[in-house]
Amino acid sequence: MAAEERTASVRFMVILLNIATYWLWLEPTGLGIPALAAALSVVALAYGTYDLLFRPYQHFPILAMSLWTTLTDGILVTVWLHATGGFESPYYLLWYLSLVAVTFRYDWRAPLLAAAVYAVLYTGLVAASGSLAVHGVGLAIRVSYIFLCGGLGAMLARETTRAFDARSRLAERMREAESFRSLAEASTEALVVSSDGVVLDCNRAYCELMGMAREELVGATLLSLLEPSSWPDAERHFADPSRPLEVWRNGPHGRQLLRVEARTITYQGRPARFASLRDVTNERELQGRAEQNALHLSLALEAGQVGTWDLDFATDTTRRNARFDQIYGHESPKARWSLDDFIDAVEPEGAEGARRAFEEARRLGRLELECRIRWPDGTRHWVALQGQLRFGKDGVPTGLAGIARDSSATHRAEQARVEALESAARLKEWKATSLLAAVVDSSIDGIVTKDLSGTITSWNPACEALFGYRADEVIGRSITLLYTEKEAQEEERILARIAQGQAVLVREARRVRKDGSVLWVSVSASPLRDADGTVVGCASIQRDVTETRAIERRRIEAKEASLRLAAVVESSIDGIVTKDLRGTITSWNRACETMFGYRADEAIGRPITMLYPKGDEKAEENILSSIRQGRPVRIREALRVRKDGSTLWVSVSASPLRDANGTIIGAASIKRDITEARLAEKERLDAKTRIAEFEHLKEIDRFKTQFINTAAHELRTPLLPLRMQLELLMTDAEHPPLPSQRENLEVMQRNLERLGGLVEDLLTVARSQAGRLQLNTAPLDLKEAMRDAEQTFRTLAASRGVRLVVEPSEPVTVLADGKGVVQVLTNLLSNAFKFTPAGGEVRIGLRRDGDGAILTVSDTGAGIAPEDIGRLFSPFVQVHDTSQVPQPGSGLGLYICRQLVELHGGTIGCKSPGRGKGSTFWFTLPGIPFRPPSDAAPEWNPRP
Amino acid sequence: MTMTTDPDQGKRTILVVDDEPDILFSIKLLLERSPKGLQVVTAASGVEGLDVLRSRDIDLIVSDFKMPGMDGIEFLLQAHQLKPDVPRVMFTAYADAELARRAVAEAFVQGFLAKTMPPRELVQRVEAILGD
Repeated sequence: MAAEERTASVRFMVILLNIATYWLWLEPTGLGIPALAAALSVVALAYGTYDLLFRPYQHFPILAMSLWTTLTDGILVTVWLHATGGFESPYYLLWYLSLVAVTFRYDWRAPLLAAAVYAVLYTGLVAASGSLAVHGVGLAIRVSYIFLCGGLGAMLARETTRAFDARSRLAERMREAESFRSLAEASTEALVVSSDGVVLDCNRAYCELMGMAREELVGATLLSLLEPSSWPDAERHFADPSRPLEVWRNGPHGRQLLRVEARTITYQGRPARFASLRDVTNERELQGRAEQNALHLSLALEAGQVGTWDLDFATDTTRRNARFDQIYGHESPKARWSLDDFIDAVEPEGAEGARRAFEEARRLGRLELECRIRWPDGTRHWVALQGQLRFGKDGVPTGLAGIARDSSATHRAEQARVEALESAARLKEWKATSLLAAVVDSSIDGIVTKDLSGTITSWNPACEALFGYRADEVIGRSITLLYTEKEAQEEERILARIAQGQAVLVREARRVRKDGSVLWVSVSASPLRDADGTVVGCASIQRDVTETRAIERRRIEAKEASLRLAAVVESSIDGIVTKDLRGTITSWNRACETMFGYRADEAIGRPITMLYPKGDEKAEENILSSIRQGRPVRIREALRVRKDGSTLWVSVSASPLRDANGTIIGAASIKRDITEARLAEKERLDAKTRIAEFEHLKEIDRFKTQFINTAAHELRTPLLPLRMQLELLMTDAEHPPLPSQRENLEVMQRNLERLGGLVEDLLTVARSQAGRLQLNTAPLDLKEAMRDAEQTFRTLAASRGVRLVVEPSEPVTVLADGKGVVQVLTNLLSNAFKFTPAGGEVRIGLRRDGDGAILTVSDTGAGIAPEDIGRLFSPFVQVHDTSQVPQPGSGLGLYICRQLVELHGGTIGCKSPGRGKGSTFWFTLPGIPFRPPSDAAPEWNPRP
Repeated sequence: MTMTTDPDQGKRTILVVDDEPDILFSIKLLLERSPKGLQVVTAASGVEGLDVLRSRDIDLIVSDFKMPGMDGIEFLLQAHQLKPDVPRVMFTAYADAELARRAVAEAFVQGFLAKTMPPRELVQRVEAILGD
């Protein structure tokens, strides 16, 4: 179980026990119970043994407080109960809530809150019981008591915890310190802590390094542990420990070189130095030896050219190689060479400096010396010496070793330079008094003189400005300093010609400034002669042409560009015109000539508005005003006039023209003839529209056809089973319908046939409207058709009591759609029967009419008013005599008849003397021979 | 077939193909009532019709044109390829010349009947095609 859980469980037990205690206390016989409560509390303590053993400081005050309040408050309550006989239960609950809060939070506010809540609640309860006066004092006591106990307990618990925690932290730190100490002890690095130069503590490694016991070391001053020679270094190091220190110590282990690295730390609350030490005696010796080896190696490499020497301080003798002696002018090696020999060889004026250099070298570790020496033969030479200290085992310098070089040659060169400078100085002096010199100096051109080897001998101020070198920097140096690599050869050629006495002019030459930048100069070089006329050098005048050259180049480029542009303009197929800001034409290319008919010489100088249609000249003002503001102008389509007065459409794109300063001086306008393109575009659009319209019509047509086909199918399909079922019922031999049923069936059949007819009529009209009504023509015997019709209507005529008469006629055969003709006849006949009352007569007649025929259907029926005859054959027209019963019909029949007849090329008509006087319908079928039909008849049924 | 007791034996068998069940039902009743003694088997689609055609002897095929899946022309053509000797009639609400032409040219039909014709006439036409 984790410690926290255990603690929590103990707290919980304590609280539980306290509650139990109170409960028991309150129980009527309860005065012996406190003993039990105490016993339970002890059990709680036992249960929490772990915590009580390890963290008793936390529980003690709480337990104590709990027991105390339990006992005292119990007594108080008991007394109170006896005295008042009141009710107290809520009080305990609140009290324990506060106790819980106190126990878990150690917080002052918890009992305060509990007391406050209790006060409010209790007041309410007491007020309800009506005895506030009696309980007022009791209430005050109880509230104060709760607050006091809770508060005291919380404070006690908190303070105890705080005190213990502080102790526990201290112990923790001590443990940490202990572990660090053991780490330090185990370290092989010698570690020491000091303050104000006195050892405070150290580890075992340090004791071993020092060869002393810790007791001796602690309290000792650091300096006392070191050689006095190292004290100044050590003291400096105390002040600034940032850099490592190396110090000598002469201890029980002999002479040691110790490397010290130190940091400032806080030790036992005070600032202190923490240092680690290492014995580097051996390292130092090894390092010295390694350095010496390296030196010897480099010396060996230079042997022959370089003299080597090794001066031993102890014996004051120098080991040398043969070359060394030669450098000092000794034919055969000298027997001994001491430090004094170094000094003595030096010319008297340098002797003191040389001696100082050697002394310095012992301190600095290095020797760098160049001095003039006198050889035994009396000649003077320069020698350069370089050397380095070497150290013995104990780190003490034991000698100085190095090399010697004859530096006379270098010095001669330097000498020459100095002399050149001197002569330059002399020249300057001379110039100061010479007019020529004044000219040279004040020349804005760089003037430089050089000898025939190319060494610069004079350099005027303009040159300084031009090339960035001061005179003293260049005099004595080769002129090739100013050259790029490529031009060094050129210089040789120039000098060769100068040597022959010729002047040389170089128009453009590349030179390099001191800062590495390139410039272009024109060079005019002429020979310099001495008094005898011998060429001794060259004077050259250098003029900066960098800028000129760039300008020239730009000029050439611009000229080339303008030539190219002119060629482009001239060969352009677009008309290109330039005009000034007043709109006067300033140039006119060849395409313009073709486009507008004006030649260039006719157009230039005239106003551009001559190309505008009359009244349109103001547009040019707008263009020019845009141009003046620097804005280009684009006109997609503009009408222009040719020389011959014809017009053309152009697109115009005008842009401002600027002079070299950027000022707008006119406009360049590009015109493209778009007359053709415009026409083509228009045609293209028209064609597109037409195609779209055509497509649309096709689409509508497709839709119509599809609609009619679908309608035909879908309207006809349900009629078929109806018809067949009716037929079955009416002709059922096994169960014939009763007469009354037969009547019903006949009504159904009649109306079904009407519906079928109506569907067919509607489809025919729709086909006709869609232009899809087709005839299937074949030779047709009209007399037979007439007889068929009479057969069809015979039954109807009989039932209506109307006489049906077929007038006698000769046979007539025409090319016609049999079905169509029958449909027309049927329609006319059913109309006739519809409007003819019983006792009337309907007649069918046929007459030849030229090659064709006229068929008539006349009746003695209702007749038609003359004003109605004209609209009889329009669709959805029904002409009724209002005095009569309306007759059913779709109003399509006569319309379909007209369509069918007209499709045959015939005409249809009607005549009637008036209402109630009968009517005669007639139609003609022309006899013109029809083209033989290509399609099979819809109902095609070859006889077997 | 060995069913000597089959009352339908010796009757002419007509296969009617149409996707409208009411039409199939009506035609079956109408034709079977004919005094010539006709037997009608029906199929609701071209595929079904071909199955019937494979499984038994048929004397005449009457087929609708507009059917889902295989249309009448396709069905009649396949029927022709399967049993070239069985006469075929197209019976359709699309009674136009173009469809008639196609029916003859593509499916080699022996008859083309419009659904608008009176039922009695339909029976007469069928009987006429069957001959005798």
